[in-house]
Amino acid sequence: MSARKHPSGPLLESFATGVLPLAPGITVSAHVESCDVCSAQVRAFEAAEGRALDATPPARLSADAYARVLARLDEPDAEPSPPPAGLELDGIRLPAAAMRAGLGPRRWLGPGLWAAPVRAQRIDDWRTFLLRVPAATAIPSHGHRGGELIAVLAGSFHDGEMFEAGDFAENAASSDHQLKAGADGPCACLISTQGRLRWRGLARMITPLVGI
Amino acid sequence: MTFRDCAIGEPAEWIAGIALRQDRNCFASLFTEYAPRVKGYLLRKGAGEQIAEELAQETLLTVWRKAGQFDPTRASPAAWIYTIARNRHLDAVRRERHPSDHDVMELIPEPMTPEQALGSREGGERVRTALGTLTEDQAAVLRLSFFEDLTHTQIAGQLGIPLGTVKSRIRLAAAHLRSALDGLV
Repeated sequence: MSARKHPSGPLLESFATGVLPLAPGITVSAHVESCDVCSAQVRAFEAAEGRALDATPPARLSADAYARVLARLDEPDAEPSPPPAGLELDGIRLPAAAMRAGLGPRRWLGPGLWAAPVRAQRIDDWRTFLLRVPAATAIPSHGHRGGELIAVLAGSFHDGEMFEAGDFAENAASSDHQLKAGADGPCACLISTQGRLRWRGLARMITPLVGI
Repeated sequence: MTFRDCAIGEPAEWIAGIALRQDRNCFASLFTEYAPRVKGYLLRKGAGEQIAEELAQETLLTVWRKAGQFDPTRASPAAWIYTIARNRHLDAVRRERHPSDHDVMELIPEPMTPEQALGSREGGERVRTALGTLTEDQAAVLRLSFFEDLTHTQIAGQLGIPLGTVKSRIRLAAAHLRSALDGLV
């Protein structure tokens, strides 16, 4: 998969340096996992942080720090084993970072149209969810107070311009806009938004009913 | 490799010693070199004393467990240890504040289901009326299509009716709702 639209340099840097909270980081990670160009950039930022770590003067550890760690070396790893690669939901290949965090229950908005929350804490009002939209279906017009990040996992959508599988959209706080899935097949996206979305009027209520 | 080798070796060799032989001398060297730096690094990034101490210990413990995953062709030892510390830091925040699904779902357009549409104040009455004017057959295919997310073929199989009939009922029901709710959307 060769993406044409990528996260900005500052966003990749904030992701690689741990400044970006986990929730939006999962959406950035979904793109980076599948993009050689961006994963190389992320590795370059991480290498720079590694050099900074080497240059950091040692801090004094607590007196029993080494003994405490030593005592735990034989403990079994409590961390759950990573989910198998290539897990699919409704034909959508799920990104590793989203699977590590885990998904909440799917909520149906209409036939073939559903959203599932990614279990990541809300920091700086960021939330992340997986959205599946049937081919040629528009989701209601909405605006958002904060940023919006979208990683396209499958299919394509149109939002003034076309975004295809592997592409990444990075929107600033915006006035109303509408996303429409391409006609070629269902569109699946990982979406992070900062702040609640503002849905337009009654469209939000009726669209799932009449959008058959 | 002896203890002496470890003591004078390179971090990449220490990690390899842990991965290949669970070599505790190599781990001791790595701990001495990096645990205090990880703590110092986290303190510089604004972490509190206690968090920085805990994360430094957790980071080196993770290095012990995941040493086999270190790939020297992709990262330097310091860069790899840095990513572990970073991820531990993000995870630590996560354990502090675990969200409820409800929080995340607030951003999904309401309503989630036609039932909630019926319950809502705005326009609820008109939706109720519109749904009430559907034939029972139309309501049945609509329900299977919405709630069960069945394909038209699956609905045909479940109701024992031809596929063409399913399609025409859904088309009729949708057209009916659209005209009944004209002006609301």
